[in-house]
This record gives sequence, C-alpha cells and structure tokens, in this order.
Amino acid sequence: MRSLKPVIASNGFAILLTVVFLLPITAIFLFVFTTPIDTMLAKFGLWLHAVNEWSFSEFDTEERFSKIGFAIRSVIIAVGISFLYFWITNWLNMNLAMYREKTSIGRQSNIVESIQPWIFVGPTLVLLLLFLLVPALSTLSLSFQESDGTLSSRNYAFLWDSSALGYLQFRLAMRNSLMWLILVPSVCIILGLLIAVLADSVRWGVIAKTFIFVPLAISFVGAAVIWRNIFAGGGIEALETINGSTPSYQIGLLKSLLGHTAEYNEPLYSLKFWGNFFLMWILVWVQTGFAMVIFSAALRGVPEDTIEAATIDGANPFQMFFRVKLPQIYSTVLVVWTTLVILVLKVFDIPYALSANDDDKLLLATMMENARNNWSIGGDNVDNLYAAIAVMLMLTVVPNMVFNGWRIRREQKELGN
Amino acid sequence: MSLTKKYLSLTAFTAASFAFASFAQADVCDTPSKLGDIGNFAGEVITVAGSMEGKDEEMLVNTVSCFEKATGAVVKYSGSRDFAALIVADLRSNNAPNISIFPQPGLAGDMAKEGHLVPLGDELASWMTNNYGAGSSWVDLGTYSDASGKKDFYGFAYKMDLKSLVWYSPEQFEDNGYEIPTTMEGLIELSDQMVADGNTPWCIGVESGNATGWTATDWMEDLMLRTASPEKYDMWVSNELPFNSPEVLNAMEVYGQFSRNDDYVAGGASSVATTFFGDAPKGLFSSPASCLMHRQASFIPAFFPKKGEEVANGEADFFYFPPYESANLGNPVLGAGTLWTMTKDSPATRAFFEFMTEASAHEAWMSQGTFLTAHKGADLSAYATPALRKQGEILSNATTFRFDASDLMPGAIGAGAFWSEMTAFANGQDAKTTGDNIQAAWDAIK
Amino acid sequence: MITKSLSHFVLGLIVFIWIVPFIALVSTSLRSETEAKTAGFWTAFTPTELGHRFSTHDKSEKIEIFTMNGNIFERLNKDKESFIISGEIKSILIKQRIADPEKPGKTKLIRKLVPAGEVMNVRGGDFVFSKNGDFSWSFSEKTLPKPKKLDVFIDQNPIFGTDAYIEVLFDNKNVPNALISSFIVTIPATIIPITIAAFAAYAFAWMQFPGRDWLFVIVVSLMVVPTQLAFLPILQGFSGIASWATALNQWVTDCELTDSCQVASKSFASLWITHTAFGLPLAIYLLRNYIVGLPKELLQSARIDGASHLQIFTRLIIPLSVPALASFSIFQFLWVWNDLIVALYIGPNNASDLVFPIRLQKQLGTFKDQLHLLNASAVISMIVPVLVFLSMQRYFIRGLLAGSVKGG
Repeated sequence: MRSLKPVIASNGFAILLTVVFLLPITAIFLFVFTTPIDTMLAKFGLWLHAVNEWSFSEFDTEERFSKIGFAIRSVIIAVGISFLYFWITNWLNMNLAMYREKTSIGRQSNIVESIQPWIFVGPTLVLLLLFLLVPALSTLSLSFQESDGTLSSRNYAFLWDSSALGYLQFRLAMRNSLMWLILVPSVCIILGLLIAVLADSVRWGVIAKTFIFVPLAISFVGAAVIWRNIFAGGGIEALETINGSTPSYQIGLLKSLLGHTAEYNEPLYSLKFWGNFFLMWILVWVQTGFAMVIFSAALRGVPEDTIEAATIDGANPFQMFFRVKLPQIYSTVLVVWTTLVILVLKVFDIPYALSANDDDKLLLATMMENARNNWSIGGDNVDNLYAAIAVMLMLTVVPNMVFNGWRIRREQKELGN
Repeated sequence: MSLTKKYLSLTAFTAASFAFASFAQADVCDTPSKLGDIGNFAGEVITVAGSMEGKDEEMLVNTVSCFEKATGAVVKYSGSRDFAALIVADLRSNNAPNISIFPQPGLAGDMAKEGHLVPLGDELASWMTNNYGAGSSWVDLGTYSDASGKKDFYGFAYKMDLKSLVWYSPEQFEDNGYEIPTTMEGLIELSDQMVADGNTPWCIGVESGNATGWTATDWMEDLMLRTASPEKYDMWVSNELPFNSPEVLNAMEVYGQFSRNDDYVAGGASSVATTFFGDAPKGLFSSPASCLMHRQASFIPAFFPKKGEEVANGEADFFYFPPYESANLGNPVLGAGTLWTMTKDSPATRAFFEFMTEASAHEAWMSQGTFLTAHKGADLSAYATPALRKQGEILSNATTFRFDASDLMPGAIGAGAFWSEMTAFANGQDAKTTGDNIQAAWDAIK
Repeated sequence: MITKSLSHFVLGLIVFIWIVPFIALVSTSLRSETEAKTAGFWTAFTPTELGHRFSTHDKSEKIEIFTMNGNIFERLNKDKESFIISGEIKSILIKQRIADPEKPGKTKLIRKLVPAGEVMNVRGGDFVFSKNGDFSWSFSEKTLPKPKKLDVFIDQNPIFGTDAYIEVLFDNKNVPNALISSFIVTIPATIIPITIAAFAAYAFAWMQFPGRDWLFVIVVSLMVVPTQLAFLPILQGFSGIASWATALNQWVTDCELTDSCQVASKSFASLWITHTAFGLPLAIYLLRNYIVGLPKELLQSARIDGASHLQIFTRLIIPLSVPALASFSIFQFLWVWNDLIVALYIGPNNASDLVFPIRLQKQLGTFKDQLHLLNASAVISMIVPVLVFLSMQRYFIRGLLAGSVKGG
C-alpha cells in the first residue's frame, strides 16, 4: 500500500498556497471593485441631507456617508473572506482528495481527516504565532540582553540583588499580586455562581443579571471614576467652618459613612496595605458579571433529566446545587478561574486611573508599566528591564497552566480520545 | 460685452470673492509682520504628531492654517496625551510623521540617538542664535548626538512656557490689605502675615497621574535658581553636582518650608500629594477662598474655573516669583518649551521650518492665547492680552534663563525618580533620604 | 417558601450593593460642576447648604442712590441658563478688618456669619437681607458704591441638569464620527474572532491531530501575554504589509493618477486583525470547554451516520453552542468597544477616524477632575454595550439538548 503521507503533504501544501495567494488578492480586488459604493452612498446621504435639511455642513454629511459606505463594504469583505477561507479550504480538501484517490473512499476520508484539523486551527495558529508568540519570545530574549545585545542576566537582578533597581518594588508587587490572585477570582466566582443560581429562580432575574453585568460594560477607567465617588474624599476644599455652624462635606460615600470629615482628604484606597482591598473590590465589582454570564450559560446547559431525577429523589436547593449542578459545571468553573487569574495579573488600569501609584499598591502589571514610563527614556537598558519584568509576570501563570494541561489530558481520556 | 471682457470680469469677481472669503478667515494670519514667500507646495501633505490637545490643539491648527494658505500644502495634526509612548513606537516601526513635537528635550535626544531625527542644518541653528533672546541656549537645547555620536541641531524651539510666576486674586489682596512682594524674604513674610490673619497663603497640588510630583520639582528648580548659581544648576542637571549635595538639599528644604507647613497650605501638608495640579489653583477663586497664592507656570489659567477669563477680567493676576535679595543672583527665570523636529524629510516639511522662522508665524499664535516666544523680531503688541505681554517681558527681562531641569534629565530621573521622590518628600520623607534615593537612581543608570 | 424569600432577599442585597455606585454615577453626571465637587452625590436629592459668591450689582450701573434693593437669587442666576439656584438663604460671610485688641496699632481680620435680618456694614452702607433673597443696602448720603462680592450660604434645593451630557456629546462635532468609527472597528472585530475560534475550538475538542493537547495549552497560555509587548512587532509587521500592498496597488490600479496609492499601515483593517488575534485565546478556551461538555453520543451517532467533521460542526455544534457563542461575543464586543490602547497604537490616527474612547479621553483631556463630565461620559459609553447585552439575553436559553440524550 502506498503511503498516504506524500499525498497528504502535497495536498496540504496546495491548499496553503491557494489560501496565501488567492485570499489576499480576492480581498484587494473586491475592495477596489466596490469603491463606487462609497460615492453612491455619499450621494444618497446628500439627498437625505437636502430632504431633511440637516444642520451640519454638506461636507460633513458627504464624509460620513462615504465613511459608512466604506465601513459596510469593508465589514462585508472582511467577514466574507473569513468565511470564504473555511469554505474554499474544505472544498479543496475534499475535492483534491477525491481527485487523487479516485478508488478508495477509505483512503480519501483518511486524507481529508488528516488535513482538516489543520484547516480548522490554521488561522488561529498563524495569528497567535505572529501576534502573541513571537512577541513573547522576543521579549524573553530581550530580557536576557543588555541594550547593545550582549547576553546577560543583569535585568533579573531585582530578583536577588537588594541594591538593584526594582528590588523592593518586586517584592511588594509579588505580595500584592498574590493577594489579588487569590482573593479576586474566588470572590468573583462565589458571587457569580450565587447570582446565576438566584437569578434563575426569581422572576426579576434578568433585571438583576443586567445590573451585575453592567460594570463590565464600563471600561476600567470608568469603573475607577465611579468608585471614586464612594472611596475618595477631596475635590474643592470644604466650606469653612466657623464655630461649627456651617457643615463641611465629605464627597465620598463610604468615607462619609465611616465618619471621615472633609479635611481627611485621603482616599480609602490610599491606606497602607488595607487600601489594596478597596482596589480589589473595584475589580471584583467589574468582573463578577463575567463569571455570572458564563455560569448562567453553563447552568442552562446542565441536562434537564439530571435535574428532574434529583427533584424526584427529593433534593433541596442546596443539595441540587452542590451535588447535581456544580459537579457538572466544574470544568467551567476552572475555565472562569483561570481566565480571572490571568486577567488579574494583567490589570493595571485601575490603580493607574485612581493614581494609587505608590509602591505599597504595586502589582506586577503596574510595575511593568512604571518600568517603561517612569524609569524609561534615557536609561539605556530600559527596554530590557521592562522585558524582564514582563517575563516574570508571564511566568506566574505557569502553575495554573500546568494544572489546566493535566486536567485536559484527563478530560480527553474520559472522552475516550 | 465681448467674451474676453466677460471672462476678465468673472475672474476679477472670483478673485475678489476669494479674497473676501479669505479675509474673513484671516484674522489669525493677519499679523503685524508680513509673511515672506515660502514657496508653493500645493497638494502636499505634512503629518505632524504632538502632545497638544484641546485648546492648544485648536490654536496650533489655526496657526498652521496660515502656512497652508500661503503654500497650498495640507497639514494634518494628531495630538495625544500618550505622545511619548506612541511616537517611540511609530518611529521605530517606520510610521514616522513628518514633524514630531517633543515636549521634552530628553526624549528627542533619545530618538536622535536611535537615528530617527533629520538634522535641521547649521543655517537654521545660526539663525536661531541670532534671532532668539538667549538664542545660543535655545540652540543648545535642540542639539543632540546621533547614533554615531555626532552632534547636530534637531529641535526647533517654538512655543514656550514661563514657570516662575505666582498667581493671586487682586481682590483678595485688596480686601486683606496685602502688597505684592518683590523679594523672596518679603514673600515669606507675607505668607506668615496671611497665616496670622487666619488666611491660608498657598495652594499646592502635585498629583498628576503617572506624572505625580512634577509641580514639586518645578518649585524646587525655581528655588534652586534662587539659592545657587546658574552654573551650579547646570551641574545639577548633568549630575556633576550630586542630588544629595548641600546646595540641592537646601533648595529642597526651602520648598519643604512652603509645602510641608500645615498652616501654609490649603488642605494641610498631607493634601499636597493627592491634590490634582489642575485643581489646586481653583482654591484662589472658591467661595470663600481657600488660599491666596499659587506658584505655577504660565499655562495654568486654562485650569481656572472660568478657563482663564479671570485673567482677562481682573479676577486673577500674577507676579514674578521673586529672588532672594540677599543672594544676589539677579532675576532667574525657569521655563520650558516644545521642540519641533523633522522625522520624515520632504520639501514641504522643510518649508514649514522656514515658516517657523518668520515673525508672522509667532505673532499668529501670540494673538490667540497662551503662547510665548523668544523671537526678537516678533511684535510684542501681537500678544493677546496684557498678561501675556507682561509674561513676555518677564521672559525678556530675565538675566538667567534655564529650562526645566526635570525635562533635561534622563527620563529615568526627570520623569521618574525625581517626581516620585519629591512626592514622597511632600508626604513627609526627609530631604536627605529623598536626595539619596534620587542619587541612587542616577547611579543605577550610569 | 423560606428559600424563595431568602433568594429574593440575598439577590436584592447584592444588587443593591452593585447599584449604589450607579446612583452615584448618574446623579453626579446630572449635577453642575461645583456641586459635584463640593458635596457628595447623596446630598443631591435633598436641600443642602452650599456656598456661592454673588456681586451686589453690575459695574455698569451708574445711578447714585440712597438705597439699593435687589434679590440675591436674581444676582446669582443672572447669566445662568441651567442649574438655577433656589432655596433659602442661611447666612452671609463677612470679612472685616478691625483693630486688634491684642496688638495695638495693628488690624486683625475677622470673619462673621451674618444671619437673615441682621444689619451689617458693607462699604459704609447698611446691608440687610431676608431668607428669600431680597436685600437692601442703604447709605446716609447719595452714593454710587462699588460692587461688592459677598459669600453667601444657601440651603439649596436639589437641581439637576443635562449640561454635562451636552458638553460631552455635542460640543465636539467629532463625536458622531467617533461613534461610527467605533462600530466600524467593533463589529468585524467580534464576528471574525468568533468564527475562527469556533472552528479551532471544535478541532481542539473533537478532532484528532498530533500535538493537539500541547497546542491547546500553549494557545490558552498566550492569554497572559500583555498586549503592550506586541505593539512594536505588530506595527513593524503592518508597516511591511502596507508597503507591499502599496506596491501592489500601484501595479494593479491607476492610483498614481490620483496619488492615492499609499496604503496606510495603521488602519481599521489592522485593528480588526489585531483584536482578532488578542481575543482568540480566551474565545477558544471558553468555546472548547463548552463543546467538550456537549454529549459525546451526539458526535458518535453523527459519525456513524457518515457525517464529516464539517457537517457536524455546521449542522450540529454551532446551533447547540449558541449560548457560549453569545456569551463570548458580548465580551469581545465589550473589550473592543471600550479599548483605548490598541486603537491608539494600531488604529488610524486622523481626527475623523478616531474611536469613541479616544475621543472621550481627548475631550476630558487634562480636566480629569471634572467629576460631572467624567461621570456623564462613563454613562454614555455604557449605553451601547448594555443594549448589546440585553439584546443577546434571549440567546441564553436552555439548550436544545433537553431530553435529547438518553434515547430521546
């Protein structure tokens, strides 16, 4: 029996070539060909403008409509090309296989099945390689160099050398990051599960879920602004008090509830050590919605009959949740936990937007940003130092990934793969 | 009418209406000095990147329109607060704009070292030496080494900032019977008098996100110029004079006398580090006023409650931050400015730099607002307000001019350790520790 | 029944804690700038004592009088179009210099809060006011007094206005452009990653190929790569592609005539590709996990029926994965919609193409402490994603698996 390997390889190569050449050229051709749409839409816009007597200038209208036209056709072409990729590659796969192995259907399907996974994951692998993996690796190599390219581990000196730039900061950042890593995902998950379950059982569940979700829709900077209204004091100086007859105001809600007067200006998140917990709460407030949405979908996927069976057996709500539902969404919990852990590692916007920049609040991600912005521009190995800190940040996810990998192997074995 | 006559009258009519139309727009470009002929670059596009946004951006666009009108070129400006990070990424990835406006000479120098800047040429450098007040210092500011170590003139200073000013409310001073001090000794005495009267003399705020602490560094630099010679200042900038040397620590302590004194500062000494710099001056105008003086650069009126109208209607005024009578150091002035560099050559871009040498280009911006220049040929009457003219005069009456030190130091210090350590100093850290820490940071990057 | 009301209570409590910041947000955005910064948002709903400054009359008035009558509220609201001040006057602060009893020869500054009805000496005349704001200022001789600015404390009635929103949305004509740009960026940057991720997730879940599990772990691990690391290589890459595309453009079309050959390296297309790449790891992780959770029997029975992977994927898996696809598309939409950094570095930088977050940031510029504006812009940027979430809600229905597994 002739080996299939050369056929597979050559088919695959043919498909690859087609994709690499055909798709971009098609895209550009389509793009150029549909350019008149812009002008047509601009004319349409001008007609609308005249009919409705819009107040802004004609030039603006023309510009906007032709931009909308550009937008629509770019979107259609972009999305179309993506679908086209999968359609063409599959079509080629099947037909090339049929063409080259006219006789045996078994061998045909063998060829098709060998190539197909690569078609499915191809774009992913290429994009991730170029956009994430290569930069990550080049960062790794940069971290072991001096600015002129010679190999050295000086950039990592902050790990062991107490006089090195960043030594103290790194220890603080690790302490804080670990606290965040442990607390924030756990609280988010517990709350997310709780809300997902509760919201399913009440009629106003959708409204409740919407409110929990909304913080996600605000950028981190926006969330920081919002919590300033609660945690921070200050603003314009308070009114003068004369003989205590005029009240002075605290503009942060929590500070007010805690009895802080307006003169006590410091925001709650500036407190040494304890301030960290206020910052963490902001992230919890934002991200619980993420956990909730995922768990909501997952809980919906729990097979109806397992629930029915448990109800028949007389399970109360707690047992239903802990014995029936939770075990079945266990892998989802792991996914959410992993995602949150990684997100917590990367977040730097919140402390930055609140100017909670002091060392006591340092996180690995903020330390990284500091390294680039504050310590940078002028020191010659700044880029390398930045790279070293980035590598440390990326390494902290290794234990989590090892656990994930082990779990996936077990999962696939259970599935019989 | 014959066809020729019809055509001629049509042309005349068109020309007249075009002139009329451009006249209506030309307010900004109608300057006392006339614009010379820079050439015709019709259809050419020049891209400019900078950090100016908001009102500054508006004024820039208006000023630049004079260039567009004169040459037919189109100038596209894109401004961003994150300019420093963005421009580095753009220059390193072949996405350079034609012109990059650096707010700090340090970053410009770094980019020159990486070979991303185009030399402006000796002709332009000698022009500046001859036509700017203290011209050679300005040329020095714009001179950097390239990748091979050769020094060239890269940065054209255009649009400056004056820092040695104290802002106050004339009405408050009148109500309380205070007078403008002309010496530092008098200023301190006045502050004490204000405290005794139950008023708070100073509003100080150093918070500024990632740049928290820069206002404290400005205070210290102004004080450094008033307590030590300009030569010492230069040595301080290059770290020949260490950060923990007596002269430097002394300047820091004097600043501490102002900002770490709970009676002196609105909100108490502990509020200095958390008050946003743009908010601090509002205390001058609050009801009742929470402070009476605010030392800050010339751009600050944009942050006043009425966005600077107070200066025009007399609610706010400034006086020169005075020197010590006993120190005999003349009238030192601290300032800063933006440096315009060429990052992608083109004939139209070169013409733009020529445009910037014209007095008209300076007057066009002067007439719009917060713009100061050292161009000796620019007509002082073009300044938009008496206040600006007064500032322009302070600039020209200075006996010593120095650029903001933290802008001149390497970023790791000037935009890093100096800022953060001065913030810590404002929060109570002692001067010696502060000086030692900053010096340690210097040593680490040497 | 206890558990039912317990559910209501606990859920209600959590929702309340979640909502309080929103009340802060919306109420602050509806206040005037000074109010937002002087007193906390919870005071906005009840009469609060606030200080204002008014001047007794205009400089331009030139008539000499014995007595001047006026109303404090009228003076305060003279040029105001919104946030009209109303309420009850509590007191006026007067500052005077009097002879210092302790230091003969020197004057001392005193401050006094004068209540309604009490006469005080202002510029030599008798000044008295009443709670509703009417004041009278009388002199013994006919004089033309200089206008005097006085600090007054008012028990001010709640007042709201939409000034902040108008300033954020309409003072800048670029906002509509920015919204359009944001949609242009976000929609493809959501659709394309989902498509690519769905295929890949299926492959990682149910297809066999060498190195599958290792590759999957690597793909997911790439989630941790901070996006800032990638900017420079990405920019350099796009720069290269752009010059290649420009050359192609010159060769294929007649663009040289209109001088429009240059293909920008920082464009919407670069944003789509970049956001797609950044969003893939999470998407694949979520989707694969979901697909693996679907009953294996489905796959097996379909395979027995002779279906190819592609058919199983399109006809079976996609419809069943709708909840997961919907979840992920919401997140991706949110992330791209709110994104600032990637758009700043990799997106187009001409004024009319900037996306909404950048436009907002420029607008707020250095006025980051204008609380009322910040809050208003946060509300505005929230509206679109919330609408998206609500419209996607109906996709979170119980899966079509109900009863379909065991012999169904």
